[in-house]
Amino acid sequence: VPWIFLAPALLAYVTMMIGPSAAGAAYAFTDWNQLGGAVHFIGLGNFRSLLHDSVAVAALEHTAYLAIVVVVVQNLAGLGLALGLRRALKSRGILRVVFFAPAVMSSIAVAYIWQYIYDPSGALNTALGDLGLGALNHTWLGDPRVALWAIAATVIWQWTGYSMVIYLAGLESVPAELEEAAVLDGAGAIHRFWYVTWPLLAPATTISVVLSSILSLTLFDQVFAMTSGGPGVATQTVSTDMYQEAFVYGHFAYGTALALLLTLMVASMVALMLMGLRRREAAMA
Amino acid sequence: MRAILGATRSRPLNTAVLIVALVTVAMVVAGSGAAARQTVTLRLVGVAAPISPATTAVINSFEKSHPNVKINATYVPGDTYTTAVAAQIRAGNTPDLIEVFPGGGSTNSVWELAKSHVIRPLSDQPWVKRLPKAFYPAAQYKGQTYIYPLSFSMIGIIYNKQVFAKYHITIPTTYSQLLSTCSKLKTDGVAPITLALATPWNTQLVNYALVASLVYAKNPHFAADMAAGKATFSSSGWRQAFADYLQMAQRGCFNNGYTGTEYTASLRQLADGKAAMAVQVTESLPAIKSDNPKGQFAMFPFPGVNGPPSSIFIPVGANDGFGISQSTQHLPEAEQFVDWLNQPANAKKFADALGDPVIGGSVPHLSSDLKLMEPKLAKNETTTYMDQFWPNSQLQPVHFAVIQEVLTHQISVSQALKKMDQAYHKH
Repeated sequence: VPWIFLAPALLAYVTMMIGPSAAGAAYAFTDWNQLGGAVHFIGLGNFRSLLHDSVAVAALEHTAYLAIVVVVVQNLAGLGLALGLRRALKSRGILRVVFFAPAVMSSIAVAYIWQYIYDPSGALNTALGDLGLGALNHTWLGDPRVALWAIAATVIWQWTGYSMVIYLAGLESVPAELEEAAVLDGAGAIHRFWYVTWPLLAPATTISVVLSSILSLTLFDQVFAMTSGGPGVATQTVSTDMYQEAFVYGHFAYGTALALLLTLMVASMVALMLMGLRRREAAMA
Repeated sequence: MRAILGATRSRPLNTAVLIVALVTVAMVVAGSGAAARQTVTLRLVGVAAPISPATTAVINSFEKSHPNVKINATYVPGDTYTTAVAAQIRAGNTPDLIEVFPGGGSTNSVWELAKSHVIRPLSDQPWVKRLPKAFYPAAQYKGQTYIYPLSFSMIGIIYNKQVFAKYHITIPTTYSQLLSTCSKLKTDGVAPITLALATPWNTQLVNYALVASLVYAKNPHFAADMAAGKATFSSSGWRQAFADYLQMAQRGCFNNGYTGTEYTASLRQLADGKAAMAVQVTESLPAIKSDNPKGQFAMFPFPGVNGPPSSIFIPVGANDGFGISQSTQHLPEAEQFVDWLNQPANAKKFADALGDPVIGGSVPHLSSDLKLMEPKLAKNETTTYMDQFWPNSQLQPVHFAVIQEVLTHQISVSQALKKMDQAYHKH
């Protein structure tokens, strides 16, 4: 009987999501390159080509760097903000809104704002100059050594508030009496956080880390709007490379192979993370 | 009497028949009139600004003179145009009219869309015979004509006349003079040339301007030689072009932070007088004038070599035209639009709105801002935009990327040329 209730939603999900995705994935094993050309099955040919594609390899590296930096910094900053705004500050309501606001903005809009900020004669360089730090002026998005990190900073700025909200929700579930007991036992702030708060934040950490990992591994909007993967291929990610191969070069099958690889990569990493984090949750419960 | 009776009896019936007949005739007449007046809506996809204002202008004129045809236009920014069109084609949602790039080198070019049978050959249309032979390669695929490029553009140096006058600068006519001009302007505290290296399509303009004189002036058949496997980027004047581009950067020809400067910001620098020159396409002139309506700007040929004026060539390219989808359900109306647009007066209207010279006749009459380019056209010291004859859509983005990589010191000129040669041979 439960299956009968589930059937309509399941049918819609399979026909609207699973079916088209599977049909799309099948093109990864073909030579579909022309807009109206014939399609032939070529097995793993596209995946073999990936191994020898220097741009795809660079894109994989950049995606990995971005994922590590964004996940770590975003979660640490989000946790820090949550802990800070948990205190009885008069302005904490306003501050929570201010820090969360970027997360509700369109990623493209955020990217264009930051592109303006990063412009060689833009707000960041002007502010540095006004503060007497002109020596730090930089061509933020035009220098291959810093462009990727400039994008990472933008992503972190936008999504830290999102992590903050998740951690704030987690902190609400930490019983006050446990902290009070720890205070009575003479535990300092660091010990209270490490032995009481942090273990109880395990479920919130799992959610925040998993969501930020998915977001950073599939990053496209900000990179595309801010640098289009340049200078050269210095900020190319798997998502932007996939877009370029499929829609700019017309290599639809190869682009689909990249998309399939990205999907598998994200799914397996998230599965591994979930396993580890769930085990941690069980150990700390 | 029987007859009278009969007639009397059948009068209501006859009247009814008459009424039905009249109503039927009226309905048929009204119906056919309605059919004649029925509005057909054509879907058109075109490139957004700076081209869309010109497209909108001609669409408005066409709709006024053809009230039974409405054109529903969608405009997509240039950098994502090929993506948007390809997505619509793949989804089986091909618009009736497509703005098509001339020649090859893009998935939205004549060669690619014709090869994929997305657009239909229009060789039987009356306007085909008006197309100058020089533009056949841009408009045709395997001997069939698909578009009529409405105008053409040129690459040259747009300069701010007031800045030149203020610092007593004369127009450079050789490459060495250009470098000297850069040095003088830099000393005067003005960015000599504003370069938008962060906007991919802008990266290629300096190289094209250099290669016109360094490669194509010496060997007009270079594109054919490459196609025949007799020439490569690495073993040609392209090497010198990259070296000169790099030299210009090292000699301070470009604005501070040029690697992170966007197209619109770059044009504003020239408009505001913060920069003296920009290597640009003719379509950028209206935008610069719009940024500073009181400013005075004009274009002169990029001096790509040290030699007599006859050794300086300029890159000239046919602009886009409108192709008709193979799958259109409104072929007569689509042909009507293309035929109307390709009439000389309407093509001129489009070209004028774009700020470009119209195709047709011998040497076109250029506006005063482009007068310095006219001798090059008159003497045929021109070469077609290089990418219009490149064999695939991968080479041009690779060209953009390697320029960024060379100018940000990620790779050497030799590595850049090797990447371009590899991309040339990809399918």
